[in-house]
Amino acid sequence: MDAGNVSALTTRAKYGDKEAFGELYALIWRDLYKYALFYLGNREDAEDAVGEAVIAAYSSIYQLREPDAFKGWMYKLLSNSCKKKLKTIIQGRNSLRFDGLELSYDIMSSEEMHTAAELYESLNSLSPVERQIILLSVVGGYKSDEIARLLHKPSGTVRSALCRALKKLRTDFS
Amino acid sequence: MNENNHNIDKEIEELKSTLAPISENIKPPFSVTPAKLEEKLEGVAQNRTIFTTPLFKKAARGILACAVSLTIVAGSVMTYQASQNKALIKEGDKNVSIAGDYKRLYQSIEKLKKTNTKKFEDARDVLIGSGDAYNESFQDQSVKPSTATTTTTTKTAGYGKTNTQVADVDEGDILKNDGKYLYFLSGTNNKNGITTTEAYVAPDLARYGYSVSSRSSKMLKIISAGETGKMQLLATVKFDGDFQPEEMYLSEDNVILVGQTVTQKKVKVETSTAKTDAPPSIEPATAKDLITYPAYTGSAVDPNSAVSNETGTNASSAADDGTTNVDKTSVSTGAASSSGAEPAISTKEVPPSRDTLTEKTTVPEQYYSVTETKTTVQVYDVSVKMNPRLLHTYSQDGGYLSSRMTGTKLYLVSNHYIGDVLNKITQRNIINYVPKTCLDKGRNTPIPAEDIAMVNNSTETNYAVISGIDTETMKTSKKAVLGSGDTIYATTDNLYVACYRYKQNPASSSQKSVSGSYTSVLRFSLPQEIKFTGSCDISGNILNKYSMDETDGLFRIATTTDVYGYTFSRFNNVFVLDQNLKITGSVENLAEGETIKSVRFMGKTAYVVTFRQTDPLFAIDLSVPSKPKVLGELKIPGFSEYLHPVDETHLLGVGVAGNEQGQTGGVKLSLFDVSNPKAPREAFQYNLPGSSSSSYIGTDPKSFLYDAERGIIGIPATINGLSDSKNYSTYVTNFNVLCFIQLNLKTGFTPLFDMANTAPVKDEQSTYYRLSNDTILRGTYIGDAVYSVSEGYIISASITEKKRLGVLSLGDETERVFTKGDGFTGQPIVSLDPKSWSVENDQVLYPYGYAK
Repeated sequence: MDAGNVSALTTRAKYGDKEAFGELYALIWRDLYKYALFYLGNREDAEDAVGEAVIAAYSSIYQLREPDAFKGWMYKLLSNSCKKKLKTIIQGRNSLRFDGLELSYDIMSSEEMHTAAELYESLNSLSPVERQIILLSVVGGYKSDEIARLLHKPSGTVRSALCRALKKLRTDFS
Repeated sequence: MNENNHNIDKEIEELKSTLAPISENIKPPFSVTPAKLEEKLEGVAQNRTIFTTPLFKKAARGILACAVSLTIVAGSVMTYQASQNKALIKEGDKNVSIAGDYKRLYQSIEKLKKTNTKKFEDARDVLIGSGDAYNESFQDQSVKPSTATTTTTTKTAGYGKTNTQVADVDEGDILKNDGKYLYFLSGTNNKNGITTTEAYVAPDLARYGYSVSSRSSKMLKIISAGETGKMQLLATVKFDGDFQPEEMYLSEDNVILVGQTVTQKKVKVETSTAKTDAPPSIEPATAKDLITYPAYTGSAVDPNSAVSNETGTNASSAADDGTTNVDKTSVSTGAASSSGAEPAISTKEVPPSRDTLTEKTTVPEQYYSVTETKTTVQVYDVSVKMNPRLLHTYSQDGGYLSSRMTGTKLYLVSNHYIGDVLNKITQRNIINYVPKTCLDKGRNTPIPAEDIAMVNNSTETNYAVISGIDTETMKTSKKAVLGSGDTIYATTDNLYVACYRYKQNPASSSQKSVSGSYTSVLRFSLPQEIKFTGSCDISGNILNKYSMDETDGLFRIATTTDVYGYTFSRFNNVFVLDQNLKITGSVENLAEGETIKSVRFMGKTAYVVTFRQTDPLFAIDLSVPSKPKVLGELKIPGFSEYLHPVDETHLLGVGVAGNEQGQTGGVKLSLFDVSNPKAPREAFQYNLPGSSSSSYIGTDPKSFLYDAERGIIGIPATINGLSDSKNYSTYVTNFNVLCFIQLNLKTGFTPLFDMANTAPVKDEQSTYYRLSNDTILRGTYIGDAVYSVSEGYIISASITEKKRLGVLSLGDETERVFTKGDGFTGQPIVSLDPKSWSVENDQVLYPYGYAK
């Protein structure tokens, strides 16, 4: 993300420029959706989570202090919205739904589909915190000490969680 | 505690590439495309709320408070005794130098500003209303005593202790055992994959647009236990404010908790009328420029003031709001002497006249939110187990790195990050950004420049802060280093702080630049007062704390060096250093292309496991410090992640099995016979059952349990590929257990039994029952009883009789639903009666058998 560009867009968005906000969103929208999808496991919940996060972002972007921090801040809001979603899901339905990621079956090989199925299973076996950390690093591209600062956790804890999660995923894939 | 960053990065890359084909095929639905965005935002208003404070009175109080405290603090600083720094390093030492005064410290900070042009997206600088606000006045120290009586055993049975690296040096852990009571810090990990949360609204902040926040709850549970396996929950301690304990120690009748406190503070936006421009002549910062800080707990700044002034009321601007601390930056803009009491106040500041004050206060003040992280210690008296009492609180700036404890002395290390405020630091205000410490209700005191050292050529925008605290007297000794740390190693005499660093040699015209990893090590002497006694730079980087050792006064360290140039090369080394931290001897270029997986120093020998496709276990003789040499090598498939000395001629390795092609599999135990170090051999091995298995012992060696007396090993693991022998569905394929294995040096490994922290849970929507299956965090023992500890339960069993003795539920909910995947339609799978969970084929303590 071009820092200068982001800065300018954020400033405009802060003052109500919805188009500028739209451009900011357009820079990361796919990754945001993927994050929510891997986190919650199904399309409807992911859609809801992204939608909520976007509304929260637009309504509070005025107070975003550092314009260059848009991406990290957006992920933060999305994370919160996914967590909230998870809570209501668990309370309401008592189960998570991992019913497929709406893949284009004609493009993927059966091996890839198999991998995908195993992946959801593995992600499901992670705790929400581990899932969040893995997704922040794999989808969001953050390093472990950056994640530590985002989540207000000691970096040792994040690294341990990352290791544990990678381990669990690794065994499932080996 | 610290895993090789490089390995993690590599794994992430691999995961990314596995994910890539799936990820590319994800088609986001139309509703989340940017095209639909505007529609979604229709009618959404932007929240432009900013904080405003009541006008004149508040400002006046603030100024009064700071004027008074300036006098007092200035006084105390001038009488501060500069500690006798008997450092072995001299001023001309090329690695590190002592700051001595803040001017020199500022020169290092200036260098950092120049080298740190990379802007880090600091999402910590959280906006108001993002949902991360914490209620600062939240206090809940509820202690829930149990009504039942405790059971005590009068015999002193052997009991499990934390698996520490060095004898006599204790390490913090989430589980502690004193032979009669178990102390467990729950909430550290998640229960059954569901984060326990407490949601609450900060009433004061709600009117400013803060929303409901939630955070995970950590609790200390004190449980009576014994050889009979009977347990009673005696007390539950919750923690106030934002203190999140990570681990704990036991000392005398105290439980000492160590962790982090993260608070949100309001910081005033510097308005254009604020005095931020310094006049051309820059004077070195002195004690007179000290800014006082309000006490950590937010209590009033010193109200005792003989100086009369306008309001004469309690000098605390925290009064109205109730939730905010006095903000720091506003003090600097308004800092002034009171009526001539301290003429030494910087002459650059114009004492605000009444008129100026009135002028200023017509501008509404704006605030933004800033996150502050401190490492905190809380000492509780548990002489009466059912009534733990908080005795003392100590905190130091920075995120918690690690700690050690010898006797009653606690050594605490944290990293204080200044990267986000680097550009705000000036010659004059540098002391505001120096790490501070605070004891109980005292003031936040900055660490004096004489106790701050600077690592030369460091690009770390971090202070490592080291404190030594006597938990009986609460006397403390502190040092700070500009340059951080990521792993520590301690003996009873010395503390070593290591930091991963990376050097890039600039490219010359003829060749590509060469860059490589190295480690900076700082040494501090213990135990009375912490003193800086030396440092060194070592080629390569370490794996974890086991990569370092000090024996007979000599420091030894094992590293993996990565060199990036025309080609990438990797090799491993063991260095021996003398008392001046100069290298006396080394083995270098070992196992080229491989990386260290585990290290154990045992007296005069070092055992190093490297791995790429096979696991060479190297035995390295260190008896002659100037001539370490490789004695022997053992090549076997797989690798050990953790090495445990059994006796002088045997080493136990816990790790990962593998085959000749370098593929890795499940958890494997190896007993290495090193009686002939020239030819180490694998005497016995044992693989955990299931189609595959994993354990996190590599990253959490404290999870390893070993009773040397009886030769009993306990390892938490996840076993995959289990099938239900009772012919029900096989949906549950990953099973978390604590495996108990007997080790006999002559006959090898014998599996005893596995414990699973399971309990049947009723699905509210149906008659189906499922098993909860917590990750086992720790295992311990008291005499014949073993205890497996998870977030939801502590379960005890008898080693000799191989049966469960008791189950203690730690959950608040008596019924929880655990779901796994989709469409679980199994029949009732277990009887609710725990007595029916018997042993079958020496395997079972939980209802599932599994295929071997």
